[in-house]
Amino acid sequence: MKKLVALALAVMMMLSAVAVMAEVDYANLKEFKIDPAQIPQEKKDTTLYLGVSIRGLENPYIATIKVGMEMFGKYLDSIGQKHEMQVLDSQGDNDREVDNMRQFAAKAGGNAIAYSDPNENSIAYSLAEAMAESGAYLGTAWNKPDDVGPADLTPNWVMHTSPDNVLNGYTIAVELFKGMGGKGNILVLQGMLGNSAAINRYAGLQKALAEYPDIKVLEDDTANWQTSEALTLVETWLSKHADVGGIWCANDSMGTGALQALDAKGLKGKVGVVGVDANTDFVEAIRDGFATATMSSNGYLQGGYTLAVCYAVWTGLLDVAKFPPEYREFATPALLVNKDNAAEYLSAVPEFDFSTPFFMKAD
Amino acid sequence: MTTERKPFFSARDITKSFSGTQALKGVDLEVYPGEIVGLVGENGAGKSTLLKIIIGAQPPTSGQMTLHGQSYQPQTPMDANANGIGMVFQEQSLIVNLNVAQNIFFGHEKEFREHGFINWGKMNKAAAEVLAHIDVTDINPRKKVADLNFATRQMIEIAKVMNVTNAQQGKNCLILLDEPTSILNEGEVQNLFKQMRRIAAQGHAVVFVSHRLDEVLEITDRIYVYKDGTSVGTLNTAEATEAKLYEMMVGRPTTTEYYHLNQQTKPEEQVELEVRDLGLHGVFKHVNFKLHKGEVLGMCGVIGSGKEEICAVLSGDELPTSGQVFLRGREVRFNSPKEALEQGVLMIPKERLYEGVVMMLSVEDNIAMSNNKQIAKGMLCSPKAVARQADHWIDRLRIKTSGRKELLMQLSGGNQQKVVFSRALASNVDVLILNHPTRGVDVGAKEEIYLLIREMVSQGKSVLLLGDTLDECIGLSNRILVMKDGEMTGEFDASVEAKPSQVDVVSLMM
Amino acid sequence: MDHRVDRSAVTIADEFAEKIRQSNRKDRIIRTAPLIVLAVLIVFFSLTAGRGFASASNLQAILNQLAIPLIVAFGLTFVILIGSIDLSINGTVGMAGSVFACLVLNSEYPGLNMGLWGALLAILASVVAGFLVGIIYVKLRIPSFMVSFAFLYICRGIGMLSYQGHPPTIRDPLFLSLAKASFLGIPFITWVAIILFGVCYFIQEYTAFGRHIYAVGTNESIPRSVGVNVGRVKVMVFTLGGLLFGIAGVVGAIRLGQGQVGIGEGLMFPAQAAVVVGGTSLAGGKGGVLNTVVGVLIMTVLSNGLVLLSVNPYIRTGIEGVIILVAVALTIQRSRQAISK
Repeated sequence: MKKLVALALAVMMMLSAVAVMAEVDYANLKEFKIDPAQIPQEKKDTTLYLGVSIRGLENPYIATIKVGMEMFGKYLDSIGQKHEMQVLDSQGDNDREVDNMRQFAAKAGGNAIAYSDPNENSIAYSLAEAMAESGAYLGTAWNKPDDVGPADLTPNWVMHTSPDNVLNGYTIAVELFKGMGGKGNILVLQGMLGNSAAINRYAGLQKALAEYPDIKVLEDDTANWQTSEALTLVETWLSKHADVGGIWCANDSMGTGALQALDAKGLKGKVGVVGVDANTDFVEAIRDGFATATMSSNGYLQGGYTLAVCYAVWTGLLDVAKFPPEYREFATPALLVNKDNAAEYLSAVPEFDFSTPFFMKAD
Repeated sequence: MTTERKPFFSARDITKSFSGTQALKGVDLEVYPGEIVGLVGENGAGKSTLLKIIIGAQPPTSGQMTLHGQSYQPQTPMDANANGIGMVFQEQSLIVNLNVAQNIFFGHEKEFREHGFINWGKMNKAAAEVLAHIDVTDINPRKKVADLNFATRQMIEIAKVMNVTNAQQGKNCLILLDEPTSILNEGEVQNLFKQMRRIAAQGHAVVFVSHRLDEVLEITDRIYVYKDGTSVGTLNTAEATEAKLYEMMVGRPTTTEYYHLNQQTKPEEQVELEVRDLGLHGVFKHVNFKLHKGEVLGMCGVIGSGKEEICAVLSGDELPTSGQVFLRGREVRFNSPKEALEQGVLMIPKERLYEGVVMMLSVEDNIAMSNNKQIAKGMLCSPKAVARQADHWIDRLRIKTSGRKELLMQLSGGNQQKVVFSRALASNVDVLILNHPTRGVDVGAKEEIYLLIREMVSQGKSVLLLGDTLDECIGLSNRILVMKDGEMTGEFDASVEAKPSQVDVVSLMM
Repeated sequence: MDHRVDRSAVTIADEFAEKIRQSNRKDRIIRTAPLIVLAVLIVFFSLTAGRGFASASNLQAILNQLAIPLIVAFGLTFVILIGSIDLSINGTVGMAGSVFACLVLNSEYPGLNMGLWGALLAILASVVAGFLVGIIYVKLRIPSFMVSFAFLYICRGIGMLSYQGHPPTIRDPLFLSLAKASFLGIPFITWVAIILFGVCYFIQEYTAFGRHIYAVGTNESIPRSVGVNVGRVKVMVFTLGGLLFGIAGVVGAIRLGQGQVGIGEGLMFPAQAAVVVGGTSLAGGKGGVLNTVVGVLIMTVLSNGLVLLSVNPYIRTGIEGVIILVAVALTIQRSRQAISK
């Protein structure tokens, strides 16, 4: 009798599981919702290792990715999933990042999911492979070669996302030009030459320049994403040019350097400055009227939701092989921060509902 | 003249061994107040080693030293200085980017400290006084040593040592001078001698080491002669002559069998290598000689005579600044050892360990190293050919090895040298420059190497030999060239029946 | 037959002496090479970069940009003078700058407001790092480049840890005003470098320690034989280096108005190039802080001038490299064999 009941229960569970699985509408994954009740208890009792692989915590944007993971960890606590978190610091070294990843996945016995911002384009595949060796799942962001992608390593390379850098570069340029009344001279600080984010943001700038023919570029150079290099460059330029209306910076760290150079000349607040990343100090400068605009790439969202999608895959709720291509590679939404919303951006603590993992996909 | 007084310094039966080899087998030295003592002997006789022991730079292996009647065991040069013993080293020990005063008082700056700062004016004044003490009044103590010539630097070295002695307040001091004249010209040497006499007149003593016997005879009161790490005798300079000293310095000639004299052949008429008026600016000049086919030409001279550099030029390590080199009648100019090898000239270097062989490679690879091209077919080098060649030479030169795959580092020094030789032979060169071919090799292996040289020569190869000892050079060569101070000073026939005596050769070397 | 060398004729010894005289003459000419390079660069940029280069405003910019490279290069000069190398610079400077900004009134840790003590503590951290590099190098006999390379990461790590990804913006009015302050037309931070030059020059020329630095770099066995504690000299040199790198970090943070490890990035190799271009020998024992001033001027004028010329950024770094190579080639005494004795 007992056996029968057990069997019946088992059959019911299996049926219901199959039924639920079948409910997933892969054509419209954006609507997909994690239902904790469908996650097998044995999965919940297995310790899942969460990792974010980054270049080091020197920059505030990268720090928000780590916070994103911690937010997702709280969500896992709320549904009773056992887990551990780890930050994999590559210190800007390709080999180290791949090694870290391999050891991380091996240690977890394959029960691992990770977010990575590959140090360089070329290692994206190697990172996914390092996870695949142990059967773990990886989502990458920002850097990967054009001709390689998640589709080359199904199911372990779950997806690749990237904020639309061309759009970012374009949006801040337009904000800057509008603030200048559509005409005047600008200085341009590019990111590290050859880096894909730098190239794309610069392409966005070019697009905006084409639309604003009265904006003239006086100087154009790289400050390698660094505050101090930006300060030195702008300081030198300002000794040459008296009529600067705006400074376009490929990131906020360089924007901070530009602001400091302007400050020394008594020009802070009189010359528009834009950047990307929404560093706290730069957003504060926007709030105080010294800088014009920046873009928030939203590291919380990138780090947290990438892990959420991988989690759904690890639990078996989703099957990567059935993902439509536009859910394997897509852009994440970015938020323009300017005078209007800077104060709000600073005070608001973002809250996310990780049960709808594809919230992170831009439309 | 010194018999009345007692020696204030004595060293008795000093021995020193470095990892197996005995540099000093028991030497003695006594020094009386107010005298200048000369130390003479061939290279390697042990003069420099003894001085380093006295100054505390190296400890003796055994033996006794006493100073002012008490046991003297310096642990460091500072100990020696504190006891009134100072030394001017063969290599200059001035810091060229400091000025004269700072060099003289180097390490003693504290003596000039006032309120935490050094009174440089006071130091300069003191330096001028020290210099005036040795009659040097034309050197500004503020001048950087780098801007001074070498003779002046030498005087500063002496002033530095004298500063040590001044601190002794009346006690007898001992100044050691190791080859101080080798870079000085005549006038500068005379000035140095004047200072030495002055120091001696103050009751201090000087030990003077030099290769120049005329200078030793001129300046010293007494002379010690060392040979092969032992003292062979002491003479009052008044009774010494160059001939007498030469006689004492050289050893007994070894038996004829040792050098396989019965196998010494007569060279052919054909000239393999000719050198005309060869010179390297500041090192040697006006060097002329011919090396015939099947000849061993020995080159003798003390360290610094220029013989090593002649070899470096002939083997392509360095370019001459004047003169010509002819190989089989055709003028050649070697820009690198590789070019020399391609034309058939190869040097087996003295520093076998650093320049000659690769210790971590096998015997066969070492042999194949310089003739890979010959045994290779196109780009590929067949392991079989390498092995065949190695077996051939192991057999021919009786190299003691467990097999051709054995690493060179596991072979004895003599066998390593044989591998070097086989490489030279395998590369089929015509002119071999042997730079101390028996250095660090045991007696048995030495004999085999001698035999090997004889064999090579009888097959028509020509050898330019820098012998490890004078005896060896005379015994092996058909002809001897003598170098001194960068110039050729003599040439001897050394055929079996007319070997020159060591004294004859030494008298042109020193 | 007497073949004795006739000493009255031109002997090899005379030839040798002549050779030495020649090399000394050449040495003196070479010593002026860095100044000539600097003069050529200044004339070239004055002619090509128009009014921009020689303007008062650009002079001000150059003075501002000189300060940190100068301070760093002074510290490195002593290390190079003893024949060692310090690769930890980027880390120690970044650490000192970050820690400093965390300890004074700032945006991230408003509770910490230590003022000048914050600056002293940040510099102390760097001094300790320099001391540790020195002591490990000397006591454990690990090559200095290895030890200092390890400390590059250690210090960078401490720097990052200090602000956890959110670079503190300095709010202390004293330090904020110093960034813009100037006296006699020379910016405050440049005065710091000038005063440190005086101190370093005094140490180098007028203290026993300074003299011992040259001796250790020339030939360690010479000072050792007269009882100088060579190990102690080395540890002191690295500690002095740490002090200067720490000051550079604090000055860097004041200049940026913010603490971040990025302050130290990209400082080490230009500083090394400046030291060498100025004529200080990598082998040790030759050169000094005065040479380094010229070297840093060359490097700063060069990059400033190229920026003013608006040279395409893709080739600017390349041109900089080529000019550095030329300058080094002019200043380094090359000889096949070292002349000893």
